[in-house]
Amino acid sequence: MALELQKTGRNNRSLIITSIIAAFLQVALAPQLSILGGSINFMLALTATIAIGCDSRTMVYVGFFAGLFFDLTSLVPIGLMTLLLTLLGYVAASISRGIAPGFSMDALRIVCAGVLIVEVLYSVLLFFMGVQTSFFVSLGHGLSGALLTILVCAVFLFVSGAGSSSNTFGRGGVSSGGMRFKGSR
Amino acid sequence: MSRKPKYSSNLHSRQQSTGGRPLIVLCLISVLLLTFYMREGDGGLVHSLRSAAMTITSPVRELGSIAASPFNALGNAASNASASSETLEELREENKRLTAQVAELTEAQHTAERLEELNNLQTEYKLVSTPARVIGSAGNAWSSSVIIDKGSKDGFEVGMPVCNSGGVIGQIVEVSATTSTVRLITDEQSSVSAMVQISRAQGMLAGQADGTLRLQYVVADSEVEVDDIIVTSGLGGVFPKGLPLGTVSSVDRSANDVYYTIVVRPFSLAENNEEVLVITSIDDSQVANDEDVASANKNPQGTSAADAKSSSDDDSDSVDDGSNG
Repeated sequence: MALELQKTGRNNRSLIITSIIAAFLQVALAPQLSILGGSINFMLALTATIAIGCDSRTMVYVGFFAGLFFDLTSLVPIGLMTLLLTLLGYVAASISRGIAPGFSMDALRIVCAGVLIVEVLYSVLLFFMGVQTSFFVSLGHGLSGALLTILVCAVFLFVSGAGSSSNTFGRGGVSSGGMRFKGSR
Repeated sequence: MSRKPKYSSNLHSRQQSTGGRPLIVLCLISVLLLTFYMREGDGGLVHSLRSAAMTITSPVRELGSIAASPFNALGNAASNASASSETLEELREENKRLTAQVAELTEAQHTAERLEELNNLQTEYKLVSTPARVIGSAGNAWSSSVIIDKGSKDGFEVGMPVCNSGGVIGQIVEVSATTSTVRLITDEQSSVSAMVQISRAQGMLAGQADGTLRLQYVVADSEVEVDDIIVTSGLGGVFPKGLPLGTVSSVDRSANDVYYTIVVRPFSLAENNEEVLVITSIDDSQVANDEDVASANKNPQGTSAADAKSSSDDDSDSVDDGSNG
């Protein structure tokens, strides 16, 4: 039990540090990088990646605050990305139950699907809200943004995989599951 | 009664929780935030939150911007080097458009400057006047005249003097409801009572067939020099006193001549001016009074330059000094 608590504390600390790094990148780097109108959403990448190694309850909060941070630091409607990332955090964490954190095809599939759905849904909703005037341009931005974010997610997964061997990203409070699937990677 | 370990119960409940309740609550908060954002104005609470977040994160943004600037420059260079012919064509078109725009703005700037000068003239000489615009030349080889865009509807009458920022340019000779014809001072039929500003020597400025101006009837013992300024004398009551007309470009006097032959260079060519002032009324202080007329008759050659200068210094209105004239 003492070992589990120690792991949980360490995981929480890792989660906070990772979130701070992602927030820093979101503010400093994301506005500078743009390809085909799309830009990296580090908060989306953070939510999608951490969801692989976390319980759904924690991920609801992580998704909510990551989305809120994105909305507050970008010129977009406040609340929309918050809603989508809250849902993504919950759903991704629920689906990935039993999958070990770190880079794996299962994890990558879930992350890719989550990022793509959120980005496309976001661009479509922005169009229907009147923020974007062209549906296809909005969709194009969403797709290119999704591509860039998936690349970042892959990097995050690698890092988390390397970190998980030293308990950087663990499965918060579900250590037995984490240990079970770690061997199957 | 078995006693459970202190920590295991917490961990157990955490494992059991699926997060359904916080999910619903946070989703509701998100929707509420979105609703408030869409409905409130720019000064609302949610917008204020964003402003605060932007302010707090601005140093990090600047940091990112500084760090990315070398890469942006590289990106621009690469983009320029690989620009397609279509892009270059677009840039050429853009360049043409901007060049035209610059020309247009420069013209607007010059117009503004001319209007400002006109305004200064109006203020300096306390002129009661109406602005008008030159819309063309009268269009024949035998007269120098221009047409302005205002006429009797605006209160213009035949005989009214017309100025530009350089001084007097002519006099209205024809008026229609919406236009007026202005005979320029360079016209052969034009003559204006004038004097040399420094010496106050009186004369009549008349246009010549060759387009120059001559200051006539200036007696030979007057003091007139090249570059002296010629101004209106106010005699006759048509033109206000002291308005600039031009500068002396040459002074000749043949033996036994009573008068000088003085050629005057006008301050500006009226044809090139678009905005003018039509002086619609002159008060008594702006025309030569009886004393001025008597003085001019008594002493048409004016005073010496030194006397005129001291007289001019004594007077508060140095330009509009008609006491010696």
